[in-house]
Amino acid sequence: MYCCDSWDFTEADLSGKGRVYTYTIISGMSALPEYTRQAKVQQQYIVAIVQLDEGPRIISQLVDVSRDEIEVGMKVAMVFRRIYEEEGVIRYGYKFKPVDESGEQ
Amino acid sequence: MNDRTVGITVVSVYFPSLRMNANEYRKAWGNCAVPIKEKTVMDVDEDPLTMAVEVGKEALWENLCLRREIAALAVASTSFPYVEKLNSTTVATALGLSPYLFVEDYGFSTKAASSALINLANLVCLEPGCEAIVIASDAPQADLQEDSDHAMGAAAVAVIIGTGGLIAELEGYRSCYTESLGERYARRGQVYSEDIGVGSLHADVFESIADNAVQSLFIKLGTTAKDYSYFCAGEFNPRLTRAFARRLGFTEAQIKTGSVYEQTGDTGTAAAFLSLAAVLEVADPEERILFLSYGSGAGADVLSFKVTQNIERRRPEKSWREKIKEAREIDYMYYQRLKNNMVR
Repeated sequence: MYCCDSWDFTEADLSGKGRVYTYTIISGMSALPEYTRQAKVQQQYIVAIVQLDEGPRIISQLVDVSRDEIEVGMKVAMVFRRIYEEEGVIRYGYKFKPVDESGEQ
Repeated sequence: MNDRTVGITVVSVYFPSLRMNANEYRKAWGNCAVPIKEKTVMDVDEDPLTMAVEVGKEALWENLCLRREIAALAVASTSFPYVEKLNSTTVATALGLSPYLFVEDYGFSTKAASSALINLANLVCLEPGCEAIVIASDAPQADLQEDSDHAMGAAAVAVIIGTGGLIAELEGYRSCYTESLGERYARRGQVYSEDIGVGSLHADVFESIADNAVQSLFIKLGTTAKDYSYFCAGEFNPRLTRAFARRLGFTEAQIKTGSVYEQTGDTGTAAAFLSLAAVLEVADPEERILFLSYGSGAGADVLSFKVTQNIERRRPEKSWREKIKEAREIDYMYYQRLKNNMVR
């Protein structure tokens, strides 16, 4: 992987905190095969671009929030969740959930 | 355990993102088979390892804003997603811990977490200046058709053990094992635990083994029930546990503080730690806690803790009751979809 035509990376610890930059709602019928099981349970799920406090933007699902509650700019924090299962191996990763302005849930 | 003082430095509690009221069982089945008011439930993208990571994060990084010198990590569960592949390495990796760490899974019974605590308490005595973290993270499962499903909850508790800065000193422990079978067991390949349903036999075994372990600890330490301010235990049959504690001489007030079952349901091997965490939220310095951890077909661990002055500076920002209230409430239809699409 490279960025800006360079292989020179610096490792950084990220806080896992950020704000919703934009989002979309994926309905169950549109879910990718990896998320079929999740979509069967939740009926729809939310995919957002999160602007991290440190600057980068990343794509992730939003959890523990209803579609009526989401606002662009709302503060979120990273949580560790199952992403999907493939070839019998569980893929774990990060999602984001809303926190209040002080950083608490 | 050698003569070095050892005990608990940090306790953190985590509940999954959902909860369900007992009335949902009444609407679906006409009754709720167990004495819960509500229970905690994992969402489709949660499992004991995700809960373990979340509670580990809080215990390690967020409580004291310090990176602690951790020498060992143990994760205890009866519902690990893998039966071959160490589950605790996933947790250690996600927590960003050093790879030069003693890491181990503990399982097979609802007393797995206390076994981990005893082992790691001995380990930290050999590693001066280091601490160990034990995470009990469990979500026992039963078939939707079974009454036992009504009880099944989920929770994770992290306990950091060390030799300095203790909030509760571990004064001693005793273990007693049993080969009594037929209650709460699962063969390889089974998702749900089973029970042959001989309640009176299981009650007799519990009382006998728990009493043996408790009396043995009393003899070892020269204490009696009167020396303890609190009784805490994992509750799987709350009436039985309460009756046992009353026979030991504990009052309702001393038992009630550590009783969380009504709000959580059966949280497997996290249950005893959850009871202890609830007590540590309110216990005062110099008070003693009698901690009982029981596993069917396994036995009992009984530990004696004495609360220290440090507890006043380490009260959690949110109580366990407040944390449960943050979970989203679901109905039985959502719960059914979860169970029918569960990946274990």
